[in-house]
Amino acid sequence: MRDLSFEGYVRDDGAVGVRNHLLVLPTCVCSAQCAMDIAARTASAGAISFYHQHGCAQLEFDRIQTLRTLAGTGANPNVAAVLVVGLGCENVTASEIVAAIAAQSSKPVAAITIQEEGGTERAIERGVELVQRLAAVSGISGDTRQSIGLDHVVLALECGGSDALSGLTANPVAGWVADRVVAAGGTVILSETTELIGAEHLLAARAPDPAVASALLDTVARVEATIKATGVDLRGSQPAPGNIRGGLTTIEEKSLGCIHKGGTSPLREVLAYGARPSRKGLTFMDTPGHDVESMTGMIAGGAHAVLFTTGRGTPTGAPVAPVIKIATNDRLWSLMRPNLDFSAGGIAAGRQTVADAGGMLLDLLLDVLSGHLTRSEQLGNREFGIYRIGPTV
Amino acid sequence: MSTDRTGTTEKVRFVHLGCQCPYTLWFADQARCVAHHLGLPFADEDVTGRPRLAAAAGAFCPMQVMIPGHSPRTAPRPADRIIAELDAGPLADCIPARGLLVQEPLADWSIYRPGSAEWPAAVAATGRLCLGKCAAATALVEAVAAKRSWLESVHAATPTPGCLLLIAGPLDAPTGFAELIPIAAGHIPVADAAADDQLLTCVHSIKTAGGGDFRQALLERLAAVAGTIWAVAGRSLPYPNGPLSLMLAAGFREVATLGRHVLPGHCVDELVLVRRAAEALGPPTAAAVLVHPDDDVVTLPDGGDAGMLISAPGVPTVIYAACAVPPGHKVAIRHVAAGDYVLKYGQPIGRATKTIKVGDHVHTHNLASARAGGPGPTNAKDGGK
Repeated sequence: MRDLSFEGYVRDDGAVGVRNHLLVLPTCVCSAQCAMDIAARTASAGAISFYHQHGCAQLEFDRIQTLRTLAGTGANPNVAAVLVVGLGCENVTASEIVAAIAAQSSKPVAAITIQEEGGTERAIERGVELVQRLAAVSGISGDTRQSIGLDHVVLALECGGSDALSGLTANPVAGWVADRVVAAGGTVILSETTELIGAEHLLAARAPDPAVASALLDTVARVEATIKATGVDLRGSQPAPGNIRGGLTTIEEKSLGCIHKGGTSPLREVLAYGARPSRKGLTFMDTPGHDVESMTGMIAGGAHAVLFTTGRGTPTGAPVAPVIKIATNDRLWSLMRPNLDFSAGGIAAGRQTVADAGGMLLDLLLDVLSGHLTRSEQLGNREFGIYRIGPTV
Repeated sequence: MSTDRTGTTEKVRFVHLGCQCPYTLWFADQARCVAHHLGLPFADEDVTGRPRLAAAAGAFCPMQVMIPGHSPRTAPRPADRIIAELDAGPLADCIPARGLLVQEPLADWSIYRPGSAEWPAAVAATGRLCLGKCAAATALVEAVAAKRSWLESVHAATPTPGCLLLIAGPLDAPTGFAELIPIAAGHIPVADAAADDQLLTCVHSIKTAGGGDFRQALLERLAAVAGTIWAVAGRSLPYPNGPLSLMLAAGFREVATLGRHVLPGHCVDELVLVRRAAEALGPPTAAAVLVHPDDDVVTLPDGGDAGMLISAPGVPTVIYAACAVPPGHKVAIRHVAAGDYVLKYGQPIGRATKTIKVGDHVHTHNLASARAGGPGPTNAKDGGK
C-alpha cells in the first residue's frame, strides 16, 4: 500500500497548508500596484502579491463574488498571514476582507489603505513594516513541515488548452489521482461549467444525493441558457481556436474529455464560485472554462494544489497554490517542457497505462505538496482573475 | 487488356480466360473506361480458344487472368495526359445507364458475356453490362489448382511482356488468388519491366475462407519489381474492404474518379484511377485510438496522410484516411448520415452537418455541436438526451 502522506504545515487553527506564503492582497485594481511594490520589497520575508482588476464599480452580485474570492484566497491554508491593501473608496473594502478572512481562519491579518496612509510611498513604507511584523508573528520562517495525510488535502482540477488527447491521456491520469485522493478521504474540486455541456448527465448520474444531481444540471442549464440569451453561438469561443486546431470539434467532445479529470468518484456537492467545500470527496464548482478564473475560484475555495492538464501548453500558474502542469502528448512535452511538470503522452504512445502514469503523477503531487516547486512557481507565474457575472458599472 | 499497335488501328484489348464471372464483366467495363480515356477502340477477347460453354462445365478456370503484351513506354498517350483528360470531364460514355436485375441462381453467365449471341440484347437492356452473383462460377474456381500448368502455358504464350494484370474472380473464391501468386512472381514478366514502367493492375478484393488476404501480398510483390503502377479499382464494392481499400493498403493513392458503375441488386459503385509510385513502400499506417466500442470516430494522436491505413485496436474493419488528418484529429470508422449524432466516448459529441463516410476526417466541416446555439438535439439517433 502506497504511503499517501506528505509534509505540510499545520496552522494554529488546525488548517494544513502546503506553502507558507505571506500574501499582500490588493482589494481592487487601484491598490494592486502598491500591493505588488510592497511584496517586491519583502520577498525575502516570504511575501507575494498579484495584480487584479476587480473590487470596484461592480454590481452587488459581482461585489459579493469578488469579496468571497479575495477573502477566500487570503484564507487559503497555503497563506500563513495576509496584509490587505486597499485604496479607501472601493466597494470591496479592506475591512470587509479582513473580517471575512478572520471568519474562516485564525491566521494573522493586517490592513492598510492608500488614502489613509497618505499616498503610495507612505503606504508602501507602512506595508513593508507590517509584512515584516506579520512574518514575525506568524513565525513562517521557523515553521517546519509535518507528515500529513491526503485526507486534509483539497485538490483542484483544471484543463487548459485542451486537445483531442486531453480526454484520452492527461485527464484520465488526473482522474486516477483524483480517485486516490477521494479514497484517502480528501477533497477534489472539478470545475468549468461550460465544459460540462454535453457531459453533465454522466456526472449528475454519479451524485448519490438527487439534490446534488439536480443542482449540477441546473447549473449547466443556467449557463447554457445565459449563453443562448446572448444570441451568440457558443461555437465562436468554445472550443477555443487552439482546441479546434488540436482536433476538438464541439463543446460536447471537449466536455466529455474534461470530466475524465474528475475520476470516477461519486459527486458530493455543487459549489458556488469561490465557495469552500463542506463535504469531502468529489465536488463541482461553478466556474467558467477560463483557466485563470476557474483556478482562482477553486483556490479561493481552499484548494491546496491544482492538477492542470494541457494539450496546447500554457505557462499559467496561481498566486498561492502550486499548479502541476500535465502534458497530454509527447510533442508538447518536448516543445514546452520548461512550462510543464509531467507528461501523460506515454499513454497515447502505448508506453504506459493510465494507472502507470497515475502512480507517477500521484508521487509528483505528494512531492509538490511537500514543498517541491512546480515549473510555474519557479517561473513566478501568479495569474489571478475573478469570474465576472455582470457588467462593470 | 492491352493496346494493340500491330495494325494501323490501335485498340485496347480486354483479354481474358473465359468469362463466367460477373466480375470479369465488371472489369471489362473498367478496361472500357481506360480505353475511353486513352481514346482508343475497345476489344474484349477470350484467349482460351475453348468452347465458352465448357467454362460452365468446369473445363477450365473461370478466373480471368489477362496478360497482354504492352509496355506503357509505347503507349500512345502518356499517363499524365490521361489523367488530365480524366480531370477534364465526366465519363458519361462509361456509366451504365441502367442495370438488369439479375439474381442468382443464374445457371449460365455466358449469355451475358461480350461476344455471346445474347450480349447485344443484354447490353441493350442494361445500357452497358449486367452483373450479379453466379453460384456456378464459385464452384468452378475450385478447379483452379488443377489448371495451373495450363494457366502457365497461356502466360508463356503471351506475345509480349505484360504490363497489365487484371485479376478477377467470383466472391468466396478461396483458392483462386493463391493460384495467381506464383504466376505473378514467375510468369508475368514484370521483372523485365524498367523501373519507370507502369503496370496497370486491377485487383478484386475477396475475403478468403481462411481470413488471409494474399492479394495484398501479390500486389506488393508486383510493386517491388514494377515501378510506378496505375490501376482502376471500385471504391466501395460491395463491402467495406473493397478493391480500393486493397490498393490503398498496397501503397496506391487515388488519382481520379472515373465514373460510376451500377451493380444490379448490390450498389452503385464508383471507379477510381489509382497510382502507386515506384518509391511507395507498403501500406503506410496511422495509429489511432478508439475510446469506446460504440464510437463513430477514432482519434489519430499523430495524424496521418491521405490513404494511410488506420490502425486502431478494437476497430474490426480496414479503414483508410480519405485525406490528410492533423495530429489529434478524428477519422470516421462508420458511415454517419447528415443530421445524425456522432458518438465519441460512447456519447454524442454533436451532429453530422453532412454525410460522413468511413475514412473521412471528422471536424468542424462536417460536425457541429448540438448544444448552446448548435442545431439542437433531436431523436435522430440514440444518445440524445
